[in-house]
Amino acid sequence: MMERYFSFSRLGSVLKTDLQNARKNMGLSFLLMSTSGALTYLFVLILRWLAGWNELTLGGDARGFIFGVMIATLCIVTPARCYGSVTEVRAGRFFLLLPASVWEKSLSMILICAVVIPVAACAVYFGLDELLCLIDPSCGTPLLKLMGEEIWGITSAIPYSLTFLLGAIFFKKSKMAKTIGCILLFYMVGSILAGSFLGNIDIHFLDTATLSIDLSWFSGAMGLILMALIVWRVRTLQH
Amino acid sequence: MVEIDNLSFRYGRREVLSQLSLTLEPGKIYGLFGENGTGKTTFLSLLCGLKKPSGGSIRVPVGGTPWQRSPEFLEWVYFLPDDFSVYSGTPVRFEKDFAPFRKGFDKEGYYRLLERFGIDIHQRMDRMSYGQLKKVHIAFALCSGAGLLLMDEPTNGLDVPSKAAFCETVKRFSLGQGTVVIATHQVQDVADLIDQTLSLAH
Repeated sequence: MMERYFSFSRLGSVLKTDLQNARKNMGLSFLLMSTSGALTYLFVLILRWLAGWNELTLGGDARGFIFGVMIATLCIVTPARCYGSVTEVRAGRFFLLLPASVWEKSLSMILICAVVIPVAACAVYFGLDELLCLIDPSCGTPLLKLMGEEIWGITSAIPYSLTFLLGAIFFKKSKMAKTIGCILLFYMVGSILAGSFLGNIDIHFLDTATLSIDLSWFSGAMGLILMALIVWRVRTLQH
Repeated sequence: MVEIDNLSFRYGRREVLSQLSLTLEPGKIYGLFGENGTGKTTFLSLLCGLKKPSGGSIRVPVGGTPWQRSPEFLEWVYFLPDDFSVYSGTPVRFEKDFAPFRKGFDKEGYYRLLERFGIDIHQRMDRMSYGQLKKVHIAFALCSGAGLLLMDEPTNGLDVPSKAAFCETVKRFSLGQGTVVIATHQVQDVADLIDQTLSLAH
């Protein structure tokens, strides 16, 4: 009975198919994004060499900034590139009629967009960064060491990744722009509601620690709601 | 056996199918005919679960209703559309990627049929002509192990020898107790093949 809804072997097959599609649809973009740190370093090296700006280096802060931009871009671009075609009649039909359950298809989507591709990109980025710091001492401390425990902060990008995945399978056109619009609208409404709520209570009762715990719960709850919405959309999608 | 009872479908206000009732029996080949816009492709989409009916029901022997799109049902049905999404691998790669989803897939039969259709199994599918691509999809569909085969204009783009091979293999498929529904305007191509005609009108 359980086999009807979920099977690990089927999930494996869906993941394999999705990974091949991801490689086809965003292989080059992935390569460019994950090597963006090393490419910028090469650019700086060329400038140093050609213009004689010997004091010009790509420090930890700059490499960290590039990393942040890379992760943000990856969150926005990956879902639309990998699963945007699900809403198209021809390509989407193939996805919908693949003999796997809604749970397997949804889980595969979530894993690819929120785990597999970002983790792979981080591994390539940090690996190259480590290598550059080993070769050129002017780079300073490798980014991975520099970030330390803060590296886990990357997980805060998961809800955004899921939001863009939902946007990719929900909107038929201008997927990324419409999703960004929805996020802005959500924050505007959220700020107005939170403002009116906080205005009515005594702010002295809230300290920073309480707020931080509430926000982490909020982030987790958002992730779960988004996953549920993704499953619902895959279940009800029709052509 | 597929039992269709009072099936209706509408695009907005326009009703395409209205209270359609029929039974599709195993081992039979059905020809679905009708003018453009009478709902042939819509009917096939409803049968394979791509669309949800506006009214009525479709009862299938496996995996609930088509609209639920359960894995058993999706394995039991195969929809061969007239237009395909681009696949950049070879027919060999296509088999390796998608046959694992179908337990009853006949690998030997697939390669035998491709050979009969004159397809180079190592040629990339995104560089094939429409007719060649269609042959690969037909070969895969006929060997998929499905119990219900839905084909939309299957003989479009096929050359004369391939049409004969197609008819022969579809006949063999139905002898194995598979049900086939062929929607087409090329009535002469499938006239000798079909057991029963289903006509749709405006």
